[in-house]
Amino acid sequence: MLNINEAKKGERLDIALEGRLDTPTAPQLEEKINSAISDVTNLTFDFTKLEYISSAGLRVLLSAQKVMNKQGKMTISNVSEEIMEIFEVTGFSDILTIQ
Amino acid sequence: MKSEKIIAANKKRLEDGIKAFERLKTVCQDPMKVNEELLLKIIRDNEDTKYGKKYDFKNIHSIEDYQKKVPVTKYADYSDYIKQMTGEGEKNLICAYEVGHFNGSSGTTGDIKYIPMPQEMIDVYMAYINRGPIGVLTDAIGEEWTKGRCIRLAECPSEERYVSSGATFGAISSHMTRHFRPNIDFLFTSPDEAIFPVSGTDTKYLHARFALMDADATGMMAAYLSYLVLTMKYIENNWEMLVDDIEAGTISSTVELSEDVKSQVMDKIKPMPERAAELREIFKGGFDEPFVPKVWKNMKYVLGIGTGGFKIHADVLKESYTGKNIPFVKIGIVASEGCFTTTYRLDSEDTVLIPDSVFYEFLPVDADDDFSKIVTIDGLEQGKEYEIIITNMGGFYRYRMRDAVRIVSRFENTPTLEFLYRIDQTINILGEKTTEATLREAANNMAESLSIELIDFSVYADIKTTPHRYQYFLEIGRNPKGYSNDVIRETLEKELLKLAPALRDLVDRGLCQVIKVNFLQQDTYLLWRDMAIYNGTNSNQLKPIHIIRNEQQRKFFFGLTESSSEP
Repeated sequence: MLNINEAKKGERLDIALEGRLDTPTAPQLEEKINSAISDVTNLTFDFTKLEYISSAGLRVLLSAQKVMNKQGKMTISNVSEEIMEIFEVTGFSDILTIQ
Repeated sequence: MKSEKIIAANKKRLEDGIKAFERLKTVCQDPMKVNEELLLKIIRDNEDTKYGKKYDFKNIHSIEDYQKKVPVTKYADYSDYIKQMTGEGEKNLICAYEVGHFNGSSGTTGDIKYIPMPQEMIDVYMAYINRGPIGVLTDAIGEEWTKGRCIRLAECPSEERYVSSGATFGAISSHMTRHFRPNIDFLFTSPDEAIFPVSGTDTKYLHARFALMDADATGMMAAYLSYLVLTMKYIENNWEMLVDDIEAGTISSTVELSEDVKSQVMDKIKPMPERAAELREIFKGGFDEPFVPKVWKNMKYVLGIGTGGFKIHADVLKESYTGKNIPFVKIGIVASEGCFTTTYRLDSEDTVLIPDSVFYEFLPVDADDDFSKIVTIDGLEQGKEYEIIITNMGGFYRYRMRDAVRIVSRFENTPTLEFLYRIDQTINILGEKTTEATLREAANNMAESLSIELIDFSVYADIKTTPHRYQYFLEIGRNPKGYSNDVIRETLEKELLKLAPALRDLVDRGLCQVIKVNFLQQDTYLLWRDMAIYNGTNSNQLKPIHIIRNEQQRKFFFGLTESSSEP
């Protein structure tokens, strides 16, 4: 189960996630991002309420990062210790901007 | 009109293919004579190079002379020369021929290597890797395949890359694919924008979309068959979006393409409601049965590297997507340093040595680096395992490839062999030396006996735990009979111990524990692939990680198990 709360202000897109970002839910997030990202220069994710992220979820983040490398910046905030550990062991902490 | 041009373009491939296969049959009649002549030509042509003078090539007149005067080598023996060649464009150091291209090794065993590649070597690759397999195909099934295009999953840098000297640099597969660029529209289903993509192009979508649009495609081809599996899986997961786009002649807004590329691609598509309806009907039926023969009714062949570490992907492709009736043409052993074997028949795991490609020597795997035991083609014994040592036209002499092969049979009078494993790819905790091939065979046998789809596997030598143990990582796809993780583990363990007597002995003596199996989260190998591409690896050169070698790999796979807990 994943709740995606998004707010778009001009070229800024803020996405707050709640629940689990895994194989069943990753396509929902991918669709949301793809439908809104074309004119975005500042993409932020709030992970305060994100409990879990799997390989499928990481692929969605990587795909978003690739787009934002070209058109602006992407930041992730309020990452739990558990998810931070996943970012570190998978090498994502070197790729993502984490606040 | 277009179908006539397709047939015309394919006829040229067919004619070149038949010629290459005929050449193979000729040189395979007396392989030792051809191979010795090749060596002596290389020696004569290179006697005035720096390397030739150092090792007195002028006084080498036989294989015996050569083996006495010239040492067995590795890449480090050439790296200083190659730096001068790629930097200042120095000539006549190790190679007398004009070197216009440096082949970029995929770095399977370490850092990227620059392999000098004169036109003489490129011609051999073209003959035996691009053309010969087409000749073999035609010889077996006739000309029917020429009536349609091939789903060709190649991705090459959009622009040539150069070293300081001005020579081109890059994967040989990309270099050869450029050769076909003028005829891409008639040979391949994928558009130029997918085969020579600019950064930020969703190539998976373009390859899949254009392949699905063409109901008449007759072939499927990728350097490594693993890429075909990924594309078929992409179609399975995204068929609704793909079919909607085909119906309306649109490109979904979720597809990543620059405006320029999108505009170029849009010029190549139009609404295809009938094809979309046909595809929708097929995909609505589900994916329990292979869909390739339904989607492409004239599909005649699958071509690519599907032996060795890629057999696992070839098997998944056949089981899940193509079915058993479409023949596979498995390209032989191809490396940056040379093409060593090529196919000689369909659906074969063994491939034949190419006597006019490189000069071959073979060191028995059990010789413990005793070079006095090196043999040439005429000394090979069927069933025995050897390491390949080559002398090529690019300036590598008696170069250890670190590839282990087993002699299987003969084609004409030339030995055929199967790739076993990379010699450096073994797990060795207490002297048992379990090869990648054994680890792979155990995993394959387990998957086959339980009828499960094994996406891929990796193995880690866990010496932090006492007694030590092997840790397998498995990503499982379909599991139609719903076998539990325990059953999968027990079956794998049984298969491995059956195939690895030295390991079984260690387990029996209590020196090693039995294996531990970790189940990976879905899409973990796709993520590994995405990360490698993000970090700059050419998608044509991605190879499986069956043995975990470093801390980065270890952390990655341990971090993405279903339980995600480290040992």
